[in-house]
Amino acid sequence: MTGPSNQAIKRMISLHGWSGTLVSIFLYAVVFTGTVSVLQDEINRWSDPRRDIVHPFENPIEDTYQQLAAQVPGAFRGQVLIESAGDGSLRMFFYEKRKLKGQGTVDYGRDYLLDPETHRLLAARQGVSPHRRVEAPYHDLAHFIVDLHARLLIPGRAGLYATGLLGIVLLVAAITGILIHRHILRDLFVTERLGGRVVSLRDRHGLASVWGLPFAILVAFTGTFLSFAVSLGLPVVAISAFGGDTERAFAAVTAPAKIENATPAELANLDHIVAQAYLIAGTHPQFLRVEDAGRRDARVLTVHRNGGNGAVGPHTLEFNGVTGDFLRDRPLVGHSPSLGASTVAVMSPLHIGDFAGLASRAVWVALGAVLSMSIVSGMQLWLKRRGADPVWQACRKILAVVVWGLPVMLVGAGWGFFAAVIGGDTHSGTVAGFLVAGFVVMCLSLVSYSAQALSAHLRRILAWGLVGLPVLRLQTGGVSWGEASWNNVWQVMLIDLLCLTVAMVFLLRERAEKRSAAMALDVGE
Amino acid sequence: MLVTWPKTKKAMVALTVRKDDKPSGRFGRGLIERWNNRPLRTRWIASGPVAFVMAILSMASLPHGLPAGAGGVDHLVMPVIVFPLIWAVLIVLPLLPDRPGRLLGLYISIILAELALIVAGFLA
Repeated sequence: MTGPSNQAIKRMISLHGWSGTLVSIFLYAVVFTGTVSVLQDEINRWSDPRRDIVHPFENPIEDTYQQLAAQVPGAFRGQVLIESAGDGSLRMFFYEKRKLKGQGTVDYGRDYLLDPETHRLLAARQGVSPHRRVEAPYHDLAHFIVDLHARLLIPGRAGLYATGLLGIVLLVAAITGILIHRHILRDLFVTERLGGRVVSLRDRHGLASVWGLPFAILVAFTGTFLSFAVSLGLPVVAISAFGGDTERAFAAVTAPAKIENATPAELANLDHIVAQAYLIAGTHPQFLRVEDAGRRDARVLTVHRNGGNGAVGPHTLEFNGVTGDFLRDRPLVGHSPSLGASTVAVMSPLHIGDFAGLASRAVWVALGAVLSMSIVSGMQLWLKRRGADPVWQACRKILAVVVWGLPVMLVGAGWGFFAAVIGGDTHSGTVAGFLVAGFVVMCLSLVSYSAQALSAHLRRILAWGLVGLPVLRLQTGGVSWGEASWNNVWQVMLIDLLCLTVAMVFLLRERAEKRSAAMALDVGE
Repeated sequence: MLVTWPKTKKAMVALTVRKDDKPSGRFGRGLIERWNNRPLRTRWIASGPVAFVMAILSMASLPHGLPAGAGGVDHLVMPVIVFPLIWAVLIVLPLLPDRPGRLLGLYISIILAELALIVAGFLA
């Protein structure tokens, strides 16, 4: 069997380079923020100043459910959503499906927020399904980073299309990368030739890319699916197979058919169901949904996140709403387990590495860093080969702005978030911190005389910014290490140590570089 | 063997166009020759808009051709899952042959077949 011809390889190298070059800045932004987003849960807990957070499903909910169900209008009693709200309180949302002008079919009903421990009423309102993001001020930092990763901060579907396209570019770069590397196994063990020459950069890019290749294909594929599935895939399938009715298409995929039985019947005890669900899935439910309460065909669903009891995908446990018996682990899509349902279920866990707890996420962070390095080294190689061209020379500075400026801006977002934690609007604070840091980066890029000098400045700012984050967190009422140890909030220590370690690596590296430069000067003299 | 420079246009075409590249139809042969004469433009068209349209139409037509599976949703879900892979492969494929005209012809034929499948699905 012969491989592609030399001419074909030249064409693929051209596509590999140009496709990466044209969007490398955005690709780097998406991959780098994605790497940070893998630790979303840890960042959420780290940035949350509350010492002891009680999970709403740790306490019995049946009595409170019965009391509130008796208060709401009959039309809202059929469907109920019980979950941990963004601010940690217990939500009970009693609703019905209602068609509203300009909004289509929405969940409309009464929403109660309760203290997770005492079930004291905190807030109540009537309207469409609640906006969870608004209620979680302490999670704004992680939300911001995830938004930057998933949509590049572009609102609506346009953001999903943009990141989906970047996923396709990454996938094309990976496929062409496989085809143009004729000695892919040998490249796994190549050592970088020193000297900062073209071959050195080629070795570096080849090494990072070959080791990160399976991961690049995996995250590009799953990420493109997650971007396009609802924004493009569902509408196309709806037009093709359901005459353009997106709601019917969504219901056909996600809501399995059941035998209707409207005979009145009491709902089973929810506490018994939650206890059974905990035994089966090994975790408390993310949320609990009651379907058709008060009827013989009532169902109760408990949805658990990925990784419970060794499962890669999430659990959706289905219980008989009258007897409380466990019926089955309902697939994410369709009415029975199938190839499509299994594949959809593992897409998100595989994309964010959320299937074996912190261990899998740590591996994903490391592989994400390798992929970021592969994109940067590819750009460095591209620019090195065009070193004589003044236009490409100017691009070296832009590359430095993006590669080091983006982490500085993320740290700036963290500073803005913590500055706004005490009484301020954390969302605005996070965005303001990000933009102010961006402004500083731009000013520095204008006054720096070379890309190397700019990179060195930005690395220094990044290092001291990272050192300042744990200090600022503590000064704004964050959880101390003592309190974290007492309450088993290990995430606080993990992210603090991560910030300090990365900062120390940069500062030590800078010191070593200065020392070697001074020694070289001495030898020269 | 001594190779002499062709003196007529017919001899030049005979030398440059491989016999196995010639399709049987007169119209198709002329079109593919024209595409082959401008390989760069043909590759841009095939890897760009044609690959995109073909990937979208694959996603739209496969629900009418794939089996529903045990869960009754495989024909709806699998096209959406494989869409990124189909699109990426369709972008890369036109780079492989030195004469991409036939591949573009194949792309267009598949697009027509997919459109036929969608229309048949609507009528059914």
